[in-house]
Amino acid sequence: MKIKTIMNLPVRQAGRFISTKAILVIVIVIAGILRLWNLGNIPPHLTPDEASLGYNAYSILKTGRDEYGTLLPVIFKSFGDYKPGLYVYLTVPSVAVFGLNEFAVRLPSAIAGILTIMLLYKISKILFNEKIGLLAACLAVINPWLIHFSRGAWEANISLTLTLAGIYFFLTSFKDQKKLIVSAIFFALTLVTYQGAKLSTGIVIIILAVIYFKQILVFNRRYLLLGFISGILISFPIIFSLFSGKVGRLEVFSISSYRRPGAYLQNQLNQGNEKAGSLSYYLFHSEVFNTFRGITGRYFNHFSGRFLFFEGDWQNPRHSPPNQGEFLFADIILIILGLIILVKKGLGKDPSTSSGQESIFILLWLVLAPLPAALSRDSVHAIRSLNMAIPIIIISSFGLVYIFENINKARVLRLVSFGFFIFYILNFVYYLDTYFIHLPKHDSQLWDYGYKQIVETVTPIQNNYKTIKVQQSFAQPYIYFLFFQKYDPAKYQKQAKLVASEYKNDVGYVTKLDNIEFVPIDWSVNRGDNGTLIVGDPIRIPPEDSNDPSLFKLVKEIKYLDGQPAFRIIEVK
Amino acid sequence: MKQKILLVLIILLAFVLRFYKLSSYPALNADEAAIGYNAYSLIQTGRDEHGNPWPVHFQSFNDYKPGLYFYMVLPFVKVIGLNEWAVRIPGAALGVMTVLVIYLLAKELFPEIKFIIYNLPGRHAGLQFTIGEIAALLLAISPWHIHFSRGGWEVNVSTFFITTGIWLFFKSIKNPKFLVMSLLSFVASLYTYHAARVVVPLFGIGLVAFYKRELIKSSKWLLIAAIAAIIILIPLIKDLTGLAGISRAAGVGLFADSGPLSRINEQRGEHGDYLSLSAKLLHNKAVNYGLAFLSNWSKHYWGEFLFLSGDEIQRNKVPETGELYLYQLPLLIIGLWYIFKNVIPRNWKFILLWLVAAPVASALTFQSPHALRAHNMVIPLTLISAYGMAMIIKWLNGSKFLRVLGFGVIGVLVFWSFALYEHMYWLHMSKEYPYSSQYGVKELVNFASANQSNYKKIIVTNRYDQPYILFLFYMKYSPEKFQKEHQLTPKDKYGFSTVTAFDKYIFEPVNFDSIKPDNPNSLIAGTNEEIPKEANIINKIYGSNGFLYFKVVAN
Repeated sequence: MKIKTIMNLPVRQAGRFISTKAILVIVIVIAGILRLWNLGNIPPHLTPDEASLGYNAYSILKTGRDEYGTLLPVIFKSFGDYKPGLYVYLTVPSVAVFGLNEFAVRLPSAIAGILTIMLLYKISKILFNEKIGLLAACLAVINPWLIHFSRGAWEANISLTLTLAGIYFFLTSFKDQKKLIVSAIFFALTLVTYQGAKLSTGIVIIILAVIYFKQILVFNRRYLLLGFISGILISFPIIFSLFSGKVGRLEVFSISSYRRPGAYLQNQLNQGNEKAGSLSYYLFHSEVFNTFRGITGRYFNHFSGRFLFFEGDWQNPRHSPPNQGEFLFADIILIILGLIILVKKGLGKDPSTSSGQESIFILLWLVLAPLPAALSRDSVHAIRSLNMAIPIIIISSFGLVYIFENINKARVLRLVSFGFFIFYILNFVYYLDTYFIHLPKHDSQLWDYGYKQIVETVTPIQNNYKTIKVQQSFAQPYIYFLFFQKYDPAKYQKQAKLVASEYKNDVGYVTKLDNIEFVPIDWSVNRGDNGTLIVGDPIRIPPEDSNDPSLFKLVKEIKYLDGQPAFRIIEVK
Repeated sequence: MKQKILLVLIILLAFVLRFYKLSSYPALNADEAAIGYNAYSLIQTGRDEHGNPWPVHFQSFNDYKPGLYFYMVLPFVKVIGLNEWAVRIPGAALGVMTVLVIYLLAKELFPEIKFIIYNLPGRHAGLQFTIGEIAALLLAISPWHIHFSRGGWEVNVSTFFITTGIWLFFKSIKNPKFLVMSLLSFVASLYTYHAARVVVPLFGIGLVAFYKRELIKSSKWLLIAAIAAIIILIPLIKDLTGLAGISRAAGVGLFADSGPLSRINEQRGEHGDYLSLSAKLLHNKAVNYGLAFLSNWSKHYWGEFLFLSGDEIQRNKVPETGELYLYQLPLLIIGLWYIFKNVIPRNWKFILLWLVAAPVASALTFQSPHALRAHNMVIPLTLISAYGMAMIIKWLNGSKFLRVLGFGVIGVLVFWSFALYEHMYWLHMSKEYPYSSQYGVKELVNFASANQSNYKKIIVTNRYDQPYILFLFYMKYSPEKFQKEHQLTPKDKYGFSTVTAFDKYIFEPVNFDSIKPDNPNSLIAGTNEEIPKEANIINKIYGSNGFLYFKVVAN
């Protein structure tokens, strides 16, 4: 009897005593806490991309130009990776208010993360019903995948929010056709936000166009045309850049640049005495089939338990907390249950509950969302597949609704559901521990920890040395000096010079900033640079060869948060 | 009779795929040789190779192999002698039988699904088939099932017993007498393979939960079946409480993996206070090994494993081939879709449980996914695929245009996938994975035993698995003599032992420069890398796949 009364309270009466608005307010408050609390310190350090977005926003704020002196660009050259610029412009007000620091850079993404929840509520409510909307919002608030990319300046997260806004206005345009233009603008803005949006937004638009074909046919042609034109206008710089050679990065990440090695194929053909160009080659060993196998494999990885529940993005560990999947493990039950319900009800014969279009939209989106990731070279990729989170959350909320609706049917069900909720809560607590306690310590190296500390150490003594040599790396050390020194953008724009990488189409380097040189450290040579301050990791500056106090002065040793040595700052006497 | 012609053809296909060149491809491996030689030893002496009389588990390489398959091989060794056929026929034959059983099982599950292939004008009814034929065909050409049918794989036999037990159980709903046979079939699976001991009890619980009412109704037969089962199980239980069970569990169990353990230390360290309550509550053995188990379990549903690349262990796989065909993915999705869309047909609840529970034993070990230990998964996967295929055929039958086009596309896809698999199996497998089985050893034994009288000692490299057992097998070495003169080594880090010497044969790493001066007048067989070019090489031994495996030196 006790369990019955406990369970009855939230389930049956919650709807009566707590209004939808109140639930939404609570949801937003929790979302705010999970996304904003300690945002400047967790994750433990800025990535080079975050620092670059922040400094360019600072540069725009002070001078109206980016770090290279281009006036209000749509695409920022940055490290030579040509970042679509909306994130920078969203960061300008944030930097204006909070100053140039970690929190200010990450704030736009965190706010977008909160808006995502509101939009998800609205969309699910339109597509299905209020209950699904509320539960989807609740699940999104505590979703590890969404939290991860809301905490940090991830352009893809903004792009997701804009995509949802686009979907929302598209769905409302059936009643008010003018909204179609708004929808088109939001979809177009995703392209100005994130490189990968070309594909992921394209997929969403195609699905919507196919599923709501009939509704689109009856649209007023004027609005269709206006929507189309405004979309093209906004995304024009991005589309233009596709044809003007600034798509180097796209090529680096595209699978077609990675064929199997010729020796591998030759060896395989030799085994069966086959020849390239023979019938059996085309039937069983063709390049097309091999590429297809590769794409299929990467596609499957995004539906693997390893990715979704246990390890997360194993190819790019910075994209998920340590030993944590993109969802809570307990979600597996909601997802399976939700899929069953969606198949049973959404597409069943009863048209009064749903026309089925909505369910097909969700399922199609789920099926197609990992494509951008599968078509690129990484075996999994949590950013390029980020859109997947939305259909899965909506599907889980179907599972949750089912549990709530059946909880009171039998005593056994009540007990089982109660057990499940306890398990779910424990699972969530475990996740919080993983994110807020373990991620900073376990992954500080992945987040390029140490550069802020280098800048803080070097800046006060910078003028004591004629030259300071800082180890060059893919972490782009120069951007941290600009960022944490709040280097005058006008002054930097005059000296900004990016050296092209030795690898074709890869990001470039900056080699000099005032008296700081960013160079490869070769200790056998650099140990003799008298009067120079040298910064490098313990591999380049071996401790056993840099401890002699008569030759060197150890200015500071910086350690990663797990205690491993990160950098040594040495003065050669 | 006319209705059965399709089934007969399918069984024939299954037979050909499992028996064609069965004795020579792939080469016999050490485990199969152990099965054959122990059966031979029992026939000759009433004891296994190590002198244990009529064991339940065979000590073999100290891995204590479950015994039933050995006893099934025994009559074949008795009749046709100690050779590859004798070891492999029971496995392959029961593989073919499984195809028949899945036909019966599918018909039991879906008595209502029937199709007519073509309609003849006039009085002739078309050729009819049911979902049973579809399931049988899919299993007959299944890469997962063919692979483990071709060879002395105990697991394949245990899958046969499990499937038979479940089919008989469904039959017992109408006729409770079948309960006895059903239960005995389950018991037989327990005697055949380790993993069955974990999953069969789970299936049992499922069956009892889903069919309480029927079981209560037929309680008389249930009682008889239970008593018979318990009596037959006594020797197994007695044996398991001894060495055998513990030996196996310790070797491959989840706890043999220290990864989760070291992670506990790392995680507690990250909490700052190593001994704090929260660190202990969140990071402990229960949590970390629990996560490892669940993660292992989920890996068996990974697309890469199921549809593209299969197991990681070379012996268990064909290059670039999944456990299932890729075309089975849409079939599975459609099958599951219909299972859930309609109110789940009653017996399907159990098939779904089967699908979920099949990898549990495998997940309790540290190598996952594992095609061998999770082998019985192939049955529910095939059944669901067959259901999906049946639903597609139903759609296609609706329109004449679709029928031609649809059957054409499906036919080409199925045939091409099958051709690809056979191509990879016969042309590429033994060359891509030359060390997946003991290729070349038979050739070496033939050469060595023909020349043994000329030498005082014969030294053979132990680089590949346990060579001694293959020598015993191919030489038909007297078990009586062997039992007296050999010694098992202590277990290595994987829990296996071997024999390093019998008669004039010595098995050890060939360090040619140190062995040469100490062993005049001996025959030395080493790998290509072990034997220097300038040695007095009198023969090079190639395997049936054309690889150079041994160089033989007359010292």
